[in-house]
Amino acid sequence: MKNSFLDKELIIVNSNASSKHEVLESLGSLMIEKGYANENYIDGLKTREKEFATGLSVKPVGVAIPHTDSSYVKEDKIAIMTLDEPVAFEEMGGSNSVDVQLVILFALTDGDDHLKALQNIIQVIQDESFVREMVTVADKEKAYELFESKLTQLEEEA
Amino acid sequence: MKKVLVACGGAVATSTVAAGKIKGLLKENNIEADVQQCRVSELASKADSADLIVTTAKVERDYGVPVIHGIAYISGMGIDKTNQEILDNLK
Repeated sequence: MKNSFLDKELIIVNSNASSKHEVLESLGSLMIEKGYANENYIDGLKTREKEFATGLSVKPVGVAIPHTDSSYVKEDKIAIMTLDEPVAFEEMGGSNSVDVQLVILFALTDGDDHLKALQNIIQVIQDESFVREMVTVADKEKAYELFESKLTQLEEEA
Repeated sequence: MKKVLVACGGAVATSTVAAGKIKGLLKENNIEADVQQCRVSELASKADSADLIVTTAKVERDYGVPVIHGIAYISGMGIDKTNQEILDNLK
């Protein structure tokens, strides 16, 4: 399977966003501009994040995987952001705050066909050296290449 | 057959990943169980028929069924412990 989830235009590196709301607004706007999500997508992201937080306390930096209802989404995509300075997200399933420097936004439509891709993306987050590399890339081309080669590697291993 | 409900906010993303891992775990251990995904908001109406709830969300309510937190399947940290908790509950 080709990584149709990935799109170079949906990557922001070295963002200076200073709050999780700014993060969701920037990535959400990209999704809307590209026609992958509905106009009210950002509201959906914020509401869901408030109710079901997505910060993950992984190494070497925290990662957040914001997402919302499939009804807001037109096409399966992921959007990526790396941050200059960590931004606080609430921890998934907990009540702690996580300092997040890598954000991977899932835009998922309903259906089972994204199961494998989703598993691989989660696998990627659990890879400490990958996360470390991701937060230090200097431009979105590099970020795209890095992410794509990692996903391709996981697919070949499966 | 035992029934496991795997719940997250929207029953699309994190519960999909967790349910996949749990199905693999149960198969490896020759435990037959029905693993179903749902939204946290559906737990109240579905918990009655379940033997175990695994959730990636923060759930504090008592559903009368054991609740295991499955964030390990997303973060990758502490998976062995979560696996063991699930197996202990279904034996």
